[in-house]
This record gives sequence, structure tokens and C-alpha cells, in this order.
Amino acid sequence: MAVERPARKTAKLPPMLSPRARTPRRKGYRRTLLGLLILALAVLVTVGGVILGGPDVDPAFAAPPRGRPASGDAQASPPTPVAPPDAQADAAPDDASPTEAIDLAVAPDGGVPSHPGGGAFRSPFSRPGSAAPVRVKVAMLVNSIDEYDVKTGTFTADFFVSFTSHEPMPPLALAVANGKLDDGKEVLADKPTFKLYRLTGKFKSPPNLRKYPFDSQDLKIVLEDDLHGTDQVRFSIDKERVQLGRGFRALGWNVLYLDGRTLSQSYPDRFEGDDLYYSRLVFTIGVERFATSAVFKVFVPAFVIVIISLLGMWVPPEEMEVRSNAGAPMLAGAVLFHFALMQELPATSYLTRADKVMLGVYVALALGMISTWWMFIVKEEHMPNVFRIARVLVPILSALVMAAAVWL
Amino acid sequence: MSGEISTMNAQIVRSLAALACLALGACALGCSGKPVTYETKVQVVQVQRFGSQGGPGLMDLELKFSDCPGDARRVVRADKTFTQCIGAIKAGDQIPATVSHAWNAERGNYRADFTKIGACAIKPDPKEEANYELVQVCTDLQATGVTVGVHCDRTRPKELVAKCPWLRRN
Repeated sequence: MAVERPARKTAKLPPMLSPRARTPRRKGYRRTLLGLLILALAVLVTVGGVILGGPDVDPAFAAPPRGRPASGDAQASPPTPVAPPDAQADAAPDDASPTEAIDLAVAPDGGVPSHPGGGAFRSPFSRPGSAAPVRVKVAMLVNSIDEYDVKTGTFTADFFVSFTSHEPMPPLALAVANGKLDDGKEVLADKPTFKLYRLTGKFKSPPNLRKYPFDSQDLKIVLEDDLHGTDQVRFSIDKERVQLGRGFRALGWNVLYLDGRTLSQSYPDRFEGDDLYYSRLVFTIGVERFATSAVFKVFVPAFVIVIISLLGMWVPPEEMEVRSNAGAPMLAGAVLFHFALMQELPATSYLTRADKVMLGVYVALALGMISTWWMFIVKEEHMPNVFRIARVLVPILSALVMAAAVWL
Repeated sequence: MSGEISTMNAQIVRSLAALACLALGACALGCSGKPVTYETKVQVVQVQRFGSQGGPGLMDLELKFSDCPGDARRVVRADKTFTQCIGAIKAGDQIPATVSHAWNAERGNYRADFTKIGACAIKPDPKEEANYELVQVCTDLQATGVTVGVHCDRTRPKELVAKCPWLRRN
């Protein structure tokens, strides 16, 4: 069905708006439209480029693009804005992934990729070439150590850690080897040659309880860069700046020392050619339990139990019932006290000093009981002799046993 | 017989009383908190002046006991009188100082306080939280013959206390 085209309106237009008269104006519209289109296209291309290329990576942080050496003026680049902690923590490895060393590795025959030119390490995470690693000085200030639980060996820590280098550092992917960082990570500075973080987290250090309750513990904070091996980043401790914050307190504990050390270590093979070494930072705070508290909590009750039980040695043979019943409440008290002590500690493969003291208490109580049983066994006429011997011997033996329990 | 026992008991009681008196006397001498004064030399690490306009204000002084082993330093906030007295003082200066060391019953340990820095008397405010002391002896931490870090002892070892007795705490 043919559709009749309407007559062209231009024919009816007044002369001044005739096609000929409109031509320059149309050209003007076209130019404007074309300009707008180009502008829109440019905007689209820019936005698309940003989206496809991911967030801007500071050239100073970026590893050299494939087949091109790193630019030397990286330090002059504008500072990277501080990303929100979560975003930065999560995004760091992804951001870095397109230009990380492993992206330069190839696997023509399949399997674990490797760098064609080779290097100091076979690992695909190592950097190809022979450029020297960035030497980074690390300083630390511990604000507080809280909630130290000897039973689980866990504690929380709040600390500042700074990284300083002469050359630009790659983006650090800090990970805690013995715990977990909280989400509340504060990035106080994130410059190519200087980074300062305030970190909080929960850490785990297995306690050594052999000397409990006179024990001292090493509370460790172990940090590591997950992405870069020692061929790219090497940490060293800033000896002047491993510190405890003003007013630092670890409740119930006395600070003995503070250690900061670095460790280059490799993992047992996770894949073929996993030979890369990683630089690890280990900060240790040595703390000891307050001795006075330890004495009153453990030793005083134990000795009181023994001393009271020894009073039974002065109960004469005529009062055998009283004498035989003297030890039982003390034994019950000792068992309950020992049980309460054990509740505070984890299971150990060894005896703590407190266990040894309690063992001494049991032996001292047993000596008193044995002396009473001895009276039951011997003839009645010998009972005064046993009484006299026990009254001297049991306290002396008990004292020796307790001394041995304390000092051995 | 009972007379002998009562005489013996009286002797025992007297002996015990004498012992108690001796113990109390010793404690009174040892724990009386009588301050001991020491003269020493400090190095000015940092000077921070702040406060009033025009005239002398407060002053924070970070001082290092230069004669003591390890790193023993003190930050003291001084009042206007001291600031006016001490005048131009700058980082790096070595100045004499007088320290008073006494038992502090409230804290349960010995404490030291400056009484004089340079030629100026100073009385640090015990309630001023800006004042603090840092004492540590740091040594290189070695493993397999290589320095791998630093170890800072915070226990105030005997050698340190022997040389600088005002740093003794217990």
C-alpha cells in the first residue's frame, strides 16, 4: 500500500526561510551537533578507559609496564589519595595485579609460569631482571596491648608502623602472619617513599608456662608483605624507632623488653619453583607477670594448706579420730585450689611451676596421712613413739618437699 | 615451774618486741621517702616553647641523661618562671641538673624528679601528663653473626642503676 508523502513543507515556507536561506544556519547546527558528538565521544572514551583500566595507579607504585623499564621520575608524581582503609586493603592486590611480576611471567608449555630472562629466583612472583630491591626502614610504636589471654595465647594490639625508603616502594600488601588485622586500619600517610599506618588487630603467641606463675611471655606481632619477595622489597628495622607509647600498660604484666627484627624466609614449596624469599618483620614485647600477685595467688594458699595440715601432727594418739580427719579437708581444699588454677591455663605437655608446688602440697598431705596410718598399724604401746617421730619428721620432710617443689 | 615459764614468756615477748622495733626502725629509715639528691648532666634533645604572647610561656624540654648508659630521657613541662629563668636554650646544649630521688608511697616505687636544670629551679607538676620518662638499653640483635634488628631492655639493669642511681625504681 502506497503511502502518499505529504508535500514538502519547505515549499510553503516564506522566502526568508527557504532552503537556500537556511543553509548557513543548518551548517551552524550541524557543526554544533558534530562538536557535541565529538565531545560526548571523548567523554565516553575517557570514562571507558578509566573503567577498563581500573583505578589510577601512581606511576611510582606501579611496576614497569611490559617490556618497558620503570620511569625514573616516579617520585615527582602527585601523591596518591588515601583510600578508605577497607577499600585499600581489599583492592591493593587487585590494583597491583595487572602490573605485578607474575603478569610478566609466561608459561609456553603450561604449568607454573616463569620469567623468560630468568633471575635470582625461579618463582613467577619474583621480579625479572637484576634491579636491586627497595630497602625499607620500618619503625614501630606500640600504643597498647590488651586482653592478653594466657589460655588462648591471644592479645589485641594497637600500634603505628611506618615504612621509609629512598626509592619508591611498590604497593605493600601487609599481612599478619600470627593473627588478623581489624577493619579499622588507618592510613595516615601513603607516599611512594613513606607510609604510616595505625593498625589494630588480634594476635596469637603461644605461651610458655613452665615457670607459671613466675612466667614471662613473648607477645609477637609478625608482619609480612604478601606480594613482594626479597628481590623487590627488603625490610630493615629502624633501631632508633622501635618504641612503646607513652603510658603504655599491659594490665597485670611488667614490660621487660622490646624487640624488632627482620627475617628473610621462604615457604615450604606451595608449587613447582616456589623458591622466593619474603622479608618478615617480627616485633616482640617481652612481659612478665607481677611477682607479688603471683606469690599471693599461688604460693601463699599452697603453703597455708600445708601449714594447717601440719597442725594435725600435734594431735596426740588419744585423739586418733581428730587426727585422721585433719588431713581430709586440706586435701579437698588443695584439689579445689589446683582445679581453679588449671582453669586459667591451657593444657600443657609439661608441669608448670604451680603444678609442681601443688604436687609438693599433695606429697606433704600424704606424709601427714601416712604418719596417721602408721599409728593405726603399730601396736598401741608404740604409738607415742610414732607420734614423736612423726611430729618431727613430717614437718621436716614437708618443708624439704615444698622447697624442692618451688626450686626444681 | 610456772614462774620459770612466765619469766621465759616475758623474755620471749621482750625479744619479739625488740625485733619488731628494729624492723620498724629499719623500715622507717629505708622506706621513709627521704629524698636523695644527685647532680648530673643532661643534654637538651628538644625545646618546645608555647603559651603566652610576647612574654615567656610554658616550655617542654626533652632531656637526655648523657652520662647514663643506654637511652634515658625525660620530657618535662616547665612553667613560666622557669622559662623566664632559663632563657635561650637550644637542642644539643649540655647543662647540669639536680635530681631528687625518693620513695613514692602512692605509686609504690622510687621516683626521680628534677629540682634544678641549669641554674634554674624547677618543680614539675605531678599532675602534668606531658611529663614522662623513657629508660631503655638497646643493643643490636644478632642471628648467625648478622645484625637483624634491635633489642631494647626496659628493666633498668644493675649497671644502669649503679651509674645513675636516680633511675632506680624498685
